[in-house]
Amino acid sequence: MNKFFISPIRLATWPALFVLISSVGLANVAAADTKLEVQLIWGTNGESSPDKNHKVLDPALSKKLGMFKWKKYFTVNREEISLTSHGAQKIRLGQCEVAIKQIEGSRYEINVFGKGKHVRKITEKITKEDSLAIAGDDKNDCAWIILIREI
Amino acid sequence: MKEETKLKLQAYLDGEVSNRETRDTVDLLRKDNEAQSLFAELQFTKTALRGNEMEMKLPESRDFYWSKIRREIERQPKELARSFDGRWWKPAYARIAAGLAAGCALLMISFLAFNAGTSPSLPGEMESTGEEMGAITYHSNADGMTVVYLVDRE
Repeated sequence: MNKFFISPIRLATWPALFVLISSVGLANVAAADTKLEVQLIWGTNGESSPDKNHKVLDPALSKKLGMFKWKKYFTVNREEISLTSHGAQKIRLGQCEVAIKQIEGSRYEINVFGKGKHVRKITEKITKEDSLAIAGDDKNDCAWIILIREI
Repeated sequence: MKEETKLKLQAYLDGEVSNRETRDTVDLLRKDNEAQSLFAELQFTKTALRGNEMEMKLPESRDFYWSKIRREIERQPKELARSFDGRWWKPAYARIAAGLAAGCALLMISFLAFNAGTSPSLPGEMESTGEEMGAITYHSNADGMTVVYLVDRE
């Protein structure tokens, strides 16, 4: 056989390895860049919020919360966080606190604390398309909602 | 002449009538000219067929003939299966199949690696640490939202 002949399989090996390594590298970069928005929202049937610091929630988000019964929604607190694949972040939102940890890809572990007490651990998928709302009743037929979404 | 009478004459010729019917038919043939001529024609036809019918003779014994048919039936499915198997194990096909399998594996690995950051979509899990707090989980595909509603049991 001609000594300059290179077999097609050997020729295809290097591009294939390049594609494989690049894709793994890109995936890791993408995983490290996860940003989440965490909002504490207050829902009420009243026309205004008793706290002047509360801002009226973005209409698009209010529409998204249409499954709830309240007429108006106000943003109490809003935080943006960047998560690395291994660290957990704790965010204080008024009287409650949430600790968010990325488990794998778009799956997160969220620990909810109320008045310093651990209330619940939730493991859920959060993507740009799928948000997570953790909610509960408040006084005077109002509600609090912690809305977590990827940005 | 009635159709029934004609059939009776034919049956008499073939010896398929009872003693009483035989007597009646003989009596008819004796008296009826038309019946006589028909009977004569039937007799002639029967004789002509018996004497000139082609006889098919097998070139081999009866057992051997049928065993040949059986062997042919048994052989056909085996030959079909053999031709199918043989086609797939030809070296050229094997090389193409191996190449395709390797390509598919590479694509799958690349796809999984690219989507490692966004793909897992297992259902949510929840763990309560306080007996006094219950939860209702609801997922809305339309709104793209999972709601965990915490309910105070107290």
